[in-house]
Amino acid sequence: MDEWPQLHEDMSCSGLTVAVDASLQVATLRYFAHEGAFAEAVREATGLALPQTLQAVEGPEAQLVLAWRSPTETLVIGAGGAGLSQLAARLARFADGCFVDLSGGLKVVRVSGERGSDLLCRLGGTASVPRPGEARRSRLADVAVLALSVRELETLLVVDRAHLPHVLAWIRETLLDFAAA
Amino acid sequence: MRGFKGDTLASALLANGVRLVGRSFKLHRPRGLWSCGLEEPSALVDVGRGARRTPNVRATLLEIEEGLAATSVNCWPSVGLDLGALTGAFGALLPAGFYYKTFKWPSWRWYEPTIRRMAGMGRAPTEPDADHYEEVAAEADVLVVGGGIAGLAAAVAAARAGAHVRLLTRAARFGGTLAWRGDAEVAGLVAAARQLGVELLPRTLAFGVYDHNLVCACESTSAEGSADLPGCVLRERLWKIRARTVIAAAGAFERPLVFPDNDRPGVMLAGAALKYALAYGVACGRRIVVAANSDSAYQVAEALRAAGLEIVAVVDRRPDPSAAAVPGGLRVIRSAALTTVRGGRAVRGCRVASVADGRLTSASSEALDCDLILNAGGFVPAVHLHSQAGGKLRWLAREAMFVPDGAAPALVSVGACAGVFMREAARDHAAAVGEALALGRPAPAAPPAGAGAAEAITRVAGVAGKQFIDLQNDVAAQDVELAARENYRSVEHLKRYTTTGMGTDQGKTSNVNALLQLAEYTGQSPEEVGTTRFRPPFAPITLGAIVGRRAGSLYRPLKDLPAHAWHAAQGASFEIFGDWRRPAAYPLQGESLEAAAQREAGIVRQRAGLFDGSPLGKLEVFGPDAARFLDLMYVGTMSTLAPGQARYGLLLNEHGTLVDDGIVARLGEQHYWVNTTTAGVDRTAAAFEEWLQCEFVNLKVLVTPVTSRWANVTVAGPRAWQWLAAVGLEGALAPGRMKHMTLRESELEGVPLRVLRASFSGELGYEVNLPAEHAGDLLGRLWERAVEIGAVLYGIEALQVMRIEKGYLHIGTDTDGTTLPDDVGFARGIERKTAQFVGRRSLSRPVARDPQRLQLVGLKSVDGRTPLPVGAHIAAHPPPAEIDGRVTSSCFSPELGYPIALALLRRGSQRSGERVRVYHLGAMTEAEVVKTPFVDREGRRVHG
Repeated sequence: MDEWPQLHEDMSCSGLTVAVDASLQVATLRYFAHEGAFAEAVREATGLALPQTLQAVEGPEAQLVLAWRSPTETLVIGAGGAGLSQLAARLARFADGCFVDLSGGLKVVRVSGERGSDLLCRLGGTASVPRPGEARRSRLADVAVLALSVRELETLLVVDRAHLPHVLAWIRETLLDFAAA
Repeated sequence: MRGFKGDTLASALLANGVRLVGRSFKLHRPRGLWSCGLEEPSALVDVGRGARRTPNVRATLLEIEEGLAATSVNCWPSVGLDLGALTGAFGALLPAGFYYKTFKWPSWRWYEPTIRRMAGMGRAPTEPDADHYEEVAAEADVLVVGGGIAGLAAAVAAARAGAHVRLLTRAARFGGTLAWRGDAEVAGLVAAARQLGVELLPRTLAFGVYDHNLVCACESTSAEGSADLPGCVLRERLWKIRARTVIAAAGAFERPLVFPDNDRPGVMLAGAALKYALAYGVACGRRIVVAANSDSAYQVAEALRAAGLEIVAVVDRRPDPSAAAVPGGLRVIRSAALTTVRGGRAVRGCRVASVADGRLTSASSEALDCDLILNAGGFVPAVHLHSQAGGKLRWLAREAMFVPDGAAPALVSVGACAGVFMREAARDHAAAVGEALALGRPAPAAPPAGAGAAEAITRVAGVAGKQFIDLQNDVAAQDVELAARENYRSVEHLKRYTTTGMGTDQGKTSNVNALLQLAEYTGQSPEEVGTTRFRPPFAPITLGAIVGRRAGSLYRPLKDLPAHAWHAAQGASFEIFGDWRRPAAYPLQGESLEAAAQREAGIVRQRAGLFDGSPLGKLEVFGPDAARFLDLMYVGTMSTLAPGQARYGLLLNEHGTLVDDGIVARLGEQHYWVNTTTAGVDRTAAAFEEWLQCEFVNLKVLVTPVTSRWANVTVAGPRAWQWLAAVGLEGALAPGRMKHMTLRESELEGVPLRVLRASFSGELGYEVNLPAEHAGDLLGRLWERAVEIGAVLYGIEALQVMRIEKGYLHIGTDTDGTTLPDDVGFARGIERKTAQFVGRRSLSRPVARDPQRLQLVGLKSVDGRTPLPVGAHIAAHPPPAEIDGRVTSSCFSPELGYPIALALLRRGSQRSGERVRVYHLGAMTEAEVVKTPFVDREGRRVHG
């Protein structure tokens, strides 16, 4: 039985589409330092350095996104579980960092279109709106959300699974107002 | 009533000859329209019907719409016949603070219900709001508040200098006081602003300046009170604007004069009458007396005379008004004041006498016939935003007004709110400020000018009749005098004692007169008295605007279980526990929640039960110092755990107080799995981080919350393993091979599992942790085999019953902010632990060793029937009496067949077998103190 059938319904209005991207899996990389064996292993495995503060970077062929979450944490977002499983295996032996699979615990909402920032400004503060290449952790719809962007006119919202229905309900109401305006 | 598009309710009422529109708060005196803007103290109406009713809307701001429904407030049965006006007969007995003095005997509580019924003005709707509201965040380099000529000039100059500019104005049209005059310069500035990309927001009231230049404003997005609105509309929008710098161009209010019966319908502000005449084509009266204390009185008089109205006289307090200001052909009575106003519900005339220094200089007075008395007492710059931003004020004695004393941090005032009343000077200064701020340069100082001379004190001494200062709250000059005699010297105290400056208008037209009176009576200067602190909101806003979308299901973020839909399909009755919607029980048809919980608990103890424990807090603790860190954080010793072993732990704060508990399991050499309570996971994670970042900075530990990643499917009861084996869990997890308080990593058809042998029910228990997306599948598979096991689904209520039967502690329910480990029976764990841990030192304080402490015990009612309610007091005597403890958890035990409870009881550990009295809502139940657990005292069941 689907967790929440309504979550699979796309929401859209003129200039904006919002959808839960069920194909994306999320893990977190935790480490003590931005450099070192663990960071080097991440670089070798992904082709990407651990992102700098507030940075979001996309890997080769758009297979993977790394997004800064805190000074000791980077989120990894990837399509399908296989890539993350391989990464987990390659990072398992290090003492200065660890890989924690959060798939299913964190959900990804894809916000596309030129009105994306209009929507985000109605969910949180202006600091919640990432520019391309940024990841911003803030309060959206009264819950903690990481908003990141790696390309123009698209934002990914990384939301705790348990809060997803709340965030989507807030978005749905806002889109109804957009449509009515 | 008929009106024109663009009319406000106020202008339409005046045009239709309605003069009496409201009643005052305390004395219910008849009141008319006083102003033409948001400073209106009297003309308040409830707008709309049913769920769409909005109370206390100012008629002066309310644009009329077809079908508008509005009623006067604070009157019954009608504004014309208001029985509340009987209080006016006792007006002399109701001076400032009368209730503090007279309602003390026999007790304030005798009077309070009646006073509370009488208090308040409009009536809030009782139905849920039919409409909705949103909030939006925005930024600006320069934010201009105010759409008058100064605000527009500042915005245009800032935009020309390259800044991103937003401009807000409460009005529907730009131009401020010039908006209705078809001013060409205003039109040019608006056009230029649009061309330069200035974001113009009309109908948007900036009501507060907060830290770090956050300006909040409320935009009206739909008509108020219209009957023709569709089912649900976006009514208002709350703007939260972060601005690099703010320009306040909020204008000024007119200051009224203080004279006897100056509150009668037909007495109003001069500028308001002028606006009604020129903007709306409405004559507020035909024969006009202008009470003057400012040169602006003559401009108004001349304009109204040009509009065809009769100016009976201008009665000027001052001996020498500016000669240039006085137009020819007007009758001017200098050094004079109004001493009487004739008419109750409408002005019919007045008397005028000579005054000097606020006192009558002759016994004779002159009667003037008039139907309108206008007040032109000077100006009050709107310094509210400046003050909210932390700016200081200075007093201009000649103009008798407060103006900003320089700029506030990151906020600069321009135009009339900075004391600049000359059009050209205001425009030029504002433009210079706009450009300077856009370019990051210091803003030039404001050149206050153009307000003209005004006397500070306008009250007339030695005449009869109430001289009102605050019309909304019926505060008269006599009340301020009384307060001063009673030694209220602070303007803040004056406000609270007399209520002047309170209410919906917050003293927009009364504050300065009140503080000037106080200054006079107490021998202070106006600057020494100062103003009350201006706090947001600048003007009333709706609760809906503040709430925004946080209504109904969005009122607060609630969490859903991964398998919420599955539980709903099984008939779960959901309740909220620690921000989670969880099944409280699964009642059968016609079964109560309590009966369901009893049934479920009974079956779990006899056979097996299935429980969704997914909200249980889960943390992964990783790092070379993880073991040492957990030893420091928990009372239990975690470093001695071998991989796969688990241990119960109590988490204390630095005071030694219990803040959480849980089970810590070791996954690997430097990797732990920590279960916290459901509600305690955030505070536990925060405590871990705080100690790591602030105290144990040398420890290399990473803490990662994983609650949402892992669902928890708990199977408990004597047949628990039989049930799990039936769905395919590997034999290595069987009770004979896996001990209680151990954890094994396993898998089921490729799905990773972390299986913990633990129990909060006291029965053989398995907590199967698995990725959240698979929770529904496992629950479903188990449930398919439930019949052959004879098992049941159970909810939180049944779990509570079982854990009380076992005497298991529930943090926050059986503990409070003072409970120490010894109070709940964990002294031995502490004695055995040699290492240091957070809170240990506090456990050696004398208070922690006090033998009189409250300690957790079991209770059972002596009669074997009467429940012992949670919260009930344990005392030797009926309340009010010193209590000996209280009941913390309670249930009827299906296993024992009688009510049981847990309680915190003074010296509880030494009182087993003692009988105590339990008081609750007037009833007393005798109970016996017993040791816990109530069932399975040897603890055999958990081992299977």
